[in-house]
Amino acid sequence: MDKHKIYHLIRNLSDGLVNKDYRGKLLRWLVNDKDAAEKDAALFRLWNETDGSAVSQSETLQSLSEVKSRLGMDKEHHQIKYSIMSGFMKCAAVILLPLLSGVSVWLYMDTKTTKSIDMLECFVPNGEQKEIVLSDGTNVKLNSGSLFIYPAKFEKDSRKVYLTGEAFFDVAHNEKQPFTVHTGRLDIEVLGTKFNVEAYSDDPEITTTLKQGKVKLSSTSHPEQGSIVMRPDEQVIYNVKSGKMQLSAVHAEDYSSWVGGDMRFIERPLSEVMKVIGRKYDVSFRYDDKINLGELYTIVFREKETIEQVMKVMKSLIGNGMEYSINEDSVYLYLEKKGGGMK
Amino acid sequence: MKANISTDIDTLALSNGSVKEFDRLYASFYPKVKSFLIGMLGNVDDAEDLAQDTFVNLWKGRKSLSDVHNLNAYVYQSVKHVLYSFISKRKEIFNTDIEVAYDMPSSEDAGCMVYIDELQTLIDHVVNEMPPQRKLVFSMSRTEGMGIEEISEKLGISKRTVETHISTALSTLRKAVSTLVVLLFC
Repeated sequence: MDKHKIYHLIRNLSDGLVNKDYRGKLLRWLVNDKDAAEKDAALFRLWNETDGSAVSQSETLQSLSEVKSRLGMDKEHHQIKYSIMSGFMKCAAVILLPLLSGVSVWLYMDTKTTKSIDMLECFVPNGEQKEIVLSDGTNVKLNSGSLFIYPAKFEKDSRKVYLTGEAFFDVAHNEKQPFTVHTGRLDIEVLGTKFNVEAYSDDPEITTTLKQGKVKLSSTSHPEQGSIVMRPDEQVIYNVKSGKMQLSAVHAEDYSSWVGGDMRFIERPLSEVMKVIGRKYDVSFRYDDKINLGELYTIVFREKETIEQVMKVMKSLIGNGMEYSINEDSVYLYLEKKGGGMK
Repeated sequence: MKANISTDIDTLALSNGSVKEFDRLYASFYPKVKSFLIGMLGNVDDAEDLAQDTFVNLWKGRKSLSDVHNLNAYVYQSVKHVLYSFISKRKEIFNTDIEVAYDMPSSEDAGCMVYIDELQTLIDHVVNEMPPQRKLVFSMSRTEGMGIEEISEKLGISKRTVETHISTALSTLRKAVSTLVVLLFC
C-alpha cells in the first residue's frame, strides 16, 4: 500500500471518520508486519501533528497522582509534588512563563485538594509587588520574586495557601477555618493574625515574623522537630536543612517594612542586602572578589529611591574606595585601588 | 500544545531518578499522549490507561534516558510500544467478524479495500464542497501536514480561526461518513 494511503487511513481513523466496526480491523492491520516502516512514518507524523490542548491540567494532575500511587512515589506524606505548569489560571496581571527556566519551585499539596478545587496563582516578578484579597477577606501583599497559589474558594474547614517568596498576611479571623501557609518545607498555621513570611527557594532559611495574633509552625520535612507556637513580635528562623527552628524576640515592624516600600536591614550581611536590592529593582550584581560580602550593615532605604541613589548610599557605607558601574540591569561592584579614598 | 511549556527536561536527572523531572515530563507530554491514544483507540478509558502505562514504562526504564537526545521521538516510541502491545494482546476483541484468519486490509480483502477507498472518496468530495477558506485550511492541515501555527502565519489569520475551521470540517465529515453504507462486508 502506498505511503499516502497509509497516512490517510491512520489519519481518518484518528479523526473519528472510520466506522467503529472497522476500527478493530484497522488496528489489527496497523500492528502486522506489512509496510511497517511506512506505517511507523505515518504514525510518527500523526504524533507530531497531535495537539494536546483538549486535555485539561486537572486531568493531567489527576493522572499523575494515580501513576505516582502506582509507582509507590507518594508513600511518605500522602502528598504529591505539584509542578507549576504555565497556562494555569492566571491572577490579575501575571504571566508565569519565566519561572520554569529559572528558579525551581516546589510546593506540596494534599491529593484531596487537587481533585476538585480550582487553584489560582499569582506570580510576582522581580522588581514588582502585588496585593491580593482572598475570598475570605484575607489580605496578602506579595514581594518581588514570589509565587503564591490559592484556591478560588476555600474548603469548608480549612484555608490552605501555598507560597514561595515573601508575603505579608493580614488574615481574616475565623476559628473554624484555620489558615495554613504551605511553603513546601514549613507549614504555618494561623488564626486571625498579621505576619510576614520570607521563604525564597534559594535561601537556606525561612523566616517568619509575627506582628499580631498567634501562629503555629511545623516542619514538613522534619516532623520530629515538633512545632512552635509564636506570639507577636517574635521571629522564628527555620533552617531548611536541619529542620531546626530558632525563636527570637524582634521588632516585627522592621521585617514588614517592605510592605510600605522601604527596605530595612538590621545587622544583615552585605550579600543579603544586595540580594534584596536586586529583587526589588530587578538588577543583578557582580562582585570583584575583594569586596567583603560577609560585612554586616544596618540601613533603611525609602520606597521612592532609585537604584542610582541606593548605590550611592552603598558606596559611602562600604567605603574603602568601593566603586560601581551600572549597565542596563546589571551592576558591578569593585574596589578602586589607585587613588581611591573614603567619601 | 497551546500551553507554552518549556520542554527543557533534564533527561540526565530523570535517568538518575528525579521525581521533579518526571513531573515535568508528565506535564509536557501527557496531554499529547492521551489525545493521540484517544484518536487511535476511539475511547477515553483505554486511552487513559495506556497513557499511564506509557509513563510507568518511561519511569521504569529511566536509566536509558541519559542517552536520549530526542525526547519527543523517544516518548513516541514508548507510546507506540504500549499501543501495539495492547492491540496484539486483544486481537480477538478487535476482531468483528468470523474470518479471524485475515488481517486486513490486504489484497485478499477486496471488500475492505473498497470501504477504505469509498471512505476516502467521500471525504475528498465533502472537503471539496466546503467553503474555500475552510477547505484550504483543512487541506493544509491534513494533506500537507502543517501545524496550526504554520497555517495561521501563512494565511494571515488567527490560530483560533484555524482551529475553528478544522473542527467544523471534522464535524461536517463525521456527519457525512455516518451515512456511508457499505454493501460489501469484510
